[in-house]
Amino acid sequence: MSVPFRSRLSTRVAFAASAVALFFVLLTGGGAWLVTRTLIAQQVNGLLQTEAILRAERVSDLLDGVIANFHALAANTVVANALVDSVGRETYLQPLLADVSQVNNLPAEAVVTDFQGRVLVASNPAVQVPAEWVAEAVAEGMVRARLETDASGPLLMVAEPVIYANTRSPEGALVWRLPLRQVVARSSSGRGAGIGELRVGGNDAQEHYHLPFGDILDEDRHPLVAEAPVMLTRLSLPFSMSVRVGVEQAFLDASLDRLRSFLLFIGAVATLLVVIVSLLVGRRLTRKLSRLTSAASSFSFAASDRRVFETKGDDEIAQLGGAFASMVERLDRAYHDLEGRSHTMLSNVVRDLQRSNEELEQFAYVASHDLRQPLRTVRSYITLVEQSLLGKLDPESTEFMDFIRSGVTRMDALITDLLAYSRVGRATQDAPVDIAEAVQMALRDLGAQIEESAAIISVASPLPVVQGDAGETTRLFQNLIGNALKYRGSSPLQIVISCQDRGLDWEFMVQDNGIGIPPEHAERIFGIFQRLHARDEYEGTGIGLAICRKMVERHGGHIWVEPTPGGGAAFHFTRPK
Amino acid sequence: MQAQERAYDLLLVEDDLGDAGLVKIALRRGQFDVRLHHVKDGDDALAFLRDRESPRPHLVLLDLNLPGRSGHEVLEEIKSDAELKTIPVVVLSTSEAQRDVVKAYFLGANSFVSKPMDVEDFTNAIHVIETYWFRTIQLMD
Repeated sequence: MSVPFRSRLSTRVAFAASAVALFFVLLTGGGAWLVTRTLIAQQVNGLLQTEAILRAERVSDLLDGVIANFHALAANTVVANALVDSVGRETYLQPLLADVSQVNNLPAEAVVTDFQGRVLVASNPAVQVPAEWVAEAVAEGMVRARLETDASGPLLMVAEPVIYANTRSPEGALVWRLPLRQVVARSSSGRGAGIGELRVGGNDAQEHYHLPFGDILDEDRHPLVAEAPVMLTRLSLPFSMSVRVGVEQAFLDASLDRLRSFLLFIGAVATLLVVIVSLLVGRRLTRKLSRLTSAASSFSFAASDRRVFETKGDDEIAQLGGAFASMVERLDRAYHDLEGRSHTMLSNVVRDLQRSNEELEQFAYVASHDLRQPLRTVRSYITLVEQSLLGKLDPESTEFMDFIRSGVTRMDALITDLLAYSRVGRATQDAPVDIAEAVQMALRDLGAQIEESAAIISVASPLPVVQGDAGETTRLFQNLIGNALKYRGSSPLQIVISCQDRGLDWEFMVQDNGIGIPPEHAERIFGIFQRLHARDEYEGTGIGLAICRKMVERHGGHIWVEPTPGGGAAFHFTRPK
Repeated sequence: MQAQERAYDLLLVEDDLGDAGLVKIALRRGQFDVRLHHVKDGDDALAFLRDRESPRPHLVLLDLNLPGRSGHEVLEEIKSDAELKTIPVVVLSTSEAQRDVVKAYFLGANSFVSKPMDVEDFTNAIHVIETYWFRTIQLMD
């Protein structure tokens, strides 16, 4: 017997386990996802921070180098002498300034001013110098820096006081400027993960310059940004300068996507494993149960061993199998007990039946022997008396003697019939009997009576083959047809023999148009020695129908009579198939 | 005739006096000189047969329905006795039951005759027995 997949226990176990597994996978997967995402974000942040710092250091290294160069130049006597030697300015300083303007491959421009900030010599005449600011720096004797702008963008301008050797005081200034865009361009080689810019704050706090290292940093596109200030060792700047590095969200998303795929993969594999394992475990359980089920449904007490219920292990199913086995054993014991008892009862019944049969046989023997002997004596000696009194008896006495003789004859006939009745079903051999044949035999035996009564007998066909004794079946039809012949009326006799299929039984019918049977006697006529007519009207002992009933009932059928429309009788009897 | 010149001894074992009377009448009406010895039960029959004083019968007519020892037992006794078993035994019984007939022949009965109901038939049956056992068999000696 197979259980539909949906309602199998293994399916349910697997389903429940999978649901639980899925819950935990989602829980731990979600947790891992959140934690790892944070970690990755932090890592990316750290990476950006490092990159920003590295870039800022590079920028400051470049700038420090430039500052150091110009500082050395400011201390050069050529510059200091130029403050006072107007001839020397043009001759020496001019070429010197032109040389240093390409310091560190950066296009710097340098100017030498007097203490009031007036330009004495310039590497490029176009350079504008804020004289007042330079004068202040000279007056203070401090290096000053400021942010300038031109068409190329922000520029770093530095004023370096020049010490005149004779007075040992600042008498002028070396002013230089450097386009920061060039600095950024120089330091943008060796690109990192992120996209960066140098942010330069102007004198004005709101004014910022963004100098990209490569691609332009857009804070909308690059939400992850790290910033590191550019720190100069030799110069403090009056404006802020820092490096900002950012990455696109996609950079993070790619990692997170990988992480997500990885987690989903692990979760799917874990869930799948749980499903498979729980299916296997469930199948293991249900296989044992199925085995028990099939063992129980095909168990036969005669052929099977109760060990079919025993299952390995000590789990509940094994206990169930054990319980089955012991139940079967108890049932088997009870069954055998019952069988033994019923056998005893049956053999008692059989013995009783045998005894009763033997008694019946004894009765038949006694009837045939012991009852007939005195009868013969009476009859014989009546004859002898008659012979010895021949001619001496008056007519009345002769009549009396006739009564005695006919009484004895009838008694003998009764005994013979009683014996025939008691012998029904004894010494018979049941075999398939062709009813058509049995009817023909009966008709042949009744040939003389049929001829005498000029009866028209019709036999329906086909007639079936039934189980029974051939001689007995013939006698049955012979009795019924014989009755029809005997109890005929004044009209020409017609007898119909037919059969109908009644499902479990065959129903036979012998129908005549004779004198019929009053309905009130319909049951009585089947009794032993029951007669409806005077002996001088119709002869017979009245045993025929009783014998018929015994023959019919011996095979589990029944016999009855119905009146026919023409006033005759229709005898019906059934015979189980 | 030779048969009529000598007398035959016949032992009738019959408890029913009516039937015994019928046998006597039949023998009297027959053509043989028969000395009838009548006993009423099996014990008397065997005593008669074993008695040296009594004549050895030429024929035993044995009824089956006897008081005490049954006819079948008497038959068995006679036919298992070396001295007696050559005496022909005709079973004369009311019974027509097959089992009685078969049993009688099985035990060694030489013939089985049912007692007819009618007195004439009865007499005829006895005459047939006489003729067969006293004439036909004797001629063959």
